Amino acid sequence: MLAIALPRRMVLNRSHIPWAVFVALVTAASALLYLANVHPDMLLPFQVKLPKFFGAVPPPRNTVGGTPLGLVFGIVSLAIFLFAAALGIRKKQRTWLSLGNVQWWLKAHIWLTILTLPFVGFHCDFKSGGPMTTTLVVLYAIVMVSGFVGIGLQQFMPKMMTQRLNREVVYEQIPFVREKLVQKAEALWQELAPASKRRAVLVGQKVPAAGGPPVEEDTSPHIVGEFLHDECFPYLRAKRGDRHRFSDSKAAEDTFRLLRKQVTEKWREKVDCMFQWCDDRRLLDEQTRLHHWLHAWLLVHVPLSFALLVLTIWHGYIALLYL
Amino acid sequence: MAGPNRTQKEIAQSYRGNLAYLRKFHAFRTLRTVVFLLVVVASIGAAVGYRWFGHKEFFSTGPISANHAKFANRCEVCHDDADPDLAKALRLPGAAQASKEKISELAKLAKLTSGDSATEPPDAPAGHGRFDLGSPDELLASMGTLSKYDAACIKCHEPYQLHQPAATALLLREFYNEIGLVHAGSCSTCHKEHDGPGKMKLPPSNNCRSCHNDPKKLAEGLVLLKTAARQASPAGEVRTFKDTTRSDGVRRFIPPRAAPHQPVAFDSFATNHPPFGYEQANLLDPAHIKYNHSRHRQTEVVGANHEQQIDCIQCHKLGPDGIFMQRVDFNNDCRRCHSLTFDPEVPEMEIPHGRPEDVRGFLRSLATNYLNIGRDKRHLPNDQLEGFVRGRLDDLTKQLQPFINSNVNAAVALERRIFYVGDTTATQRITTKSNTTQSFPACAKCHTIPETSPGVLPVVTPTNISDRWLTRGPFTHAPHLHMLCYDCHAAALGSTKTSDILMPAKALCADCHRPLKQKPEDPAVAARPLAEKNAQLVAQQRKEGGITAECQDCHGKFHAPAGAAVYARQVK
Repeated sequence: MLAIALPRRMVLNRSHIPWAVFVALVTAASALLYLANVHPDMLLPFQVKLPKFFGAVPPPRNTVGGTPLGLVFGIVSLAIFLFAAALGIRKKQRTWLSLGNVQWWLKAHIWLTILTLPFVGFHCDFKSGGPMTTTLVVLYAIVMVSGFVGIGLQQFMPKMMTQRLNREVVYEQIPFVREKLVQKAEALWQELAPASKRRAVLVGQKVPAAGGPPVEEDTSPHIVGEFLHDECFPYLRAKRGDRHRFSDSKAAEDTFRLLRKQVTEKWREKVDCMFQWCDDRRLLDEQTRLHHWLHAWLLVHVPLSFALLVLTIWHGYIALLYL
Repeated sequence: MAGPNRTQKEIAQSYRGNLAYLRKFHAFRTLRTVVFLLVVVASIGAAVGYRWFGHKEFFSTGPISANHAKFANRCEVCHDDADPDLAKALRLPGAAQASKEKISELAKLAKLTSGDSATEPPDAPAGHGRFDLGSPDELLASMGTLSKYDAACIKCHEPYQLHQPAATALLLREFYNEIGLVHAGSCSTCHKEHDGPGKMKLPPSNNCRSCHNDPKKLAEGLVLLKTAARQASPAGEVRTFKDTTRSDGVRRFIPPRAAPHQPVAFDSFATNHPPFGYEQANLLDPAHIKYNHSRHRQTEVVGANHEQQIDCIQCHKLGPDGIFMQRVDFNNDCRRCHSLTFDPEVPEMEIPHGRPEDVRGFLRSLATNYLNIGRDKRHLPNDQLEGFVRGRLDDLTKQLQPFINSNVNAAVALERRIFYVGDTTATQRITTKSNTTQSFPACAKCHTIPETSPGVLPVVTPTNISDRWLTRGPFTHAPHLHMLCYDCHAAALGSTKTSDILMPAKALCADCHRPLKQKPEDPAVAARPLAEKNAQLVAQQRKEGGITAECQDCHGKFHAPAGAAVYARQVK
């Protein structure tokens, strides 16, 4: 019902309702089978007669996973793991449209893996078992939790990014864009301080005009140059901008407002450019930070999912070997 | 100071010169790839390489029991026929045929041959044939698709095909002309391994309940055999078990049993488990001894120390193992009060307790016995010995004078007084109040001795006291030491007849041996039973229940011994 209230732009929206209903129905049906087969006492006073395929009721051994029903749950779970892993391949193969679009694959990825929660529980009778199966359960728990964290982040972070980042760039272009900001700043620096005058500008000396009395010269270039050199360059060139005062937008805004007041009208355009470069840099940093939050869970989820897949296949082989 | 907004087109223009960015190094993307590859290599490496460097215990589904602990890291000992077969695991049709083929292979593996320990009895009735209780073919056929486990079991352990509820049931075949057999099925169905450290757990009651609580399964699985045995008396009887030809010496009460036997489905001991055999209506204790429990509890009847009222434990003593009560023995338990002295003037001299022949022998050499007493115990000088002996014999003759006639001489009169009447000073009584100061009350006071003609040696009817009342399951007094005897045997307090069966009813046992219904703050079941009496704990246990009542607690020795066979005729 929660999904009904959600707007369409979110990851979980109305289009997920059929999936949720499907998962709920399959869970209920499999729970009924599980209880009828493994814990018939819990279904009293109802009696569910199971076909012979299911074997003795309740299973005579402790290994519920080794019963026909337990194996079915295990095999289906493994199949879902394989399908879930195939999402990565489907994303790369954009021409496989006949297999459904990526959005459908993502929904199936989410809801079928949620379905493995009851299936895995029924398969192992909600016990962790020995060292190997305990390892599997722990891995499975980490993968599932990281997956839910991912769903949560994907649900809310994009909206947050839209609000905070009005000039979002391609993530991989960030280092290039940052470099370009530095280059622009260096170009201004070249413009402000030609090689012959750079030192004088830096010490604030007044250079008399040839053949005339000293005039009150415009100090704006000196101020802008000094600001560019002492404030902008360290920020734009910094490996991590979050420790600089311009990483605080309010502080940056106040500083540049003061600077604008100290320079003449014709230099204010340069100040605005500098402000935009710093603002761009701050947004790029913010985007990097949010991007890491948005995708860092994949550092856990994807590799451990593969490890889970390998261990599950290994577990299946060993179980069949000793069954 | 608001920052300028730019269009995506303007932003995109800033990428100019860097359109091949995806081919360039990027820290985050590279980290993701490296971590992924590391985990892939590690997980595949672990799966493939584990066999060379890992411990096989890693695959164990749980700690192995102490019984098999030495195989903990040698899976192949039990799982030697490792063969991943999904079709078989899922019981698909194709695998069933393979399973049948496997059975014959297993027979060879287990080196099973038909048992030949039982030979046909010379008086085997016509129509009766031999039934092997460990037939390998049927044993393996019953294992079904789970034979791999069982093949491992029977490599070391004896194989069993059928189960009687305890091997003791087979011993009962001498008293019942019908034996019910049920297929034992697969070993691992009941004996679960990888279920925790310590001794391998006994099969849980759930296993038993899966059949015993299902009338249909019970009826389907039961194989009834008719033997040539004499059916136990409808009144019950006391017999000893025989292992081939030798009696085990333990007298058991064998209750009557209806034939054909109708197995009763039940859920648990506390609910609808059948009553004990001795609870059947109109059964009497078949012991031939005259004993009045109520009389012995009366206050004027004091114990051997002349101070305390007699308590149960003065006669009923636990054996050294603390499990069963020892047999009440005349010399150890009765003699302290019931002396065998028959001459008040010579209390040192006692009639031997035992066979009537010994008593007659003792009486017929009375002069010698007096002489021995005078010489060895009273240390009389030689010149007084003859007078002592003659004096005692003359006194006895005088006392017996009223009973001597032409048919009965003094020796016969004395013997009849000793066996039937008692105290030579009394005239008519059969019994007498007995204590250490009284003369002999006659053997017939306690024993059943049919009347015989004068001169004929009386025959004492065997006491026939039962040592055990529960034949199908062991009972132990050890965990019940915190209880008073009459907590369970309350009927003894008011019992005046030997024929009263003083054993507790099943329902009384179920007062404590039932599931804990409501868990109180400090449940009695958590309290460790003590050796000291604890009436409060007993009362609480009876109120709350919760004391274990697993089938195996009473019905151990589930399997018939390997090679056991019976000659019988199958009726079902």
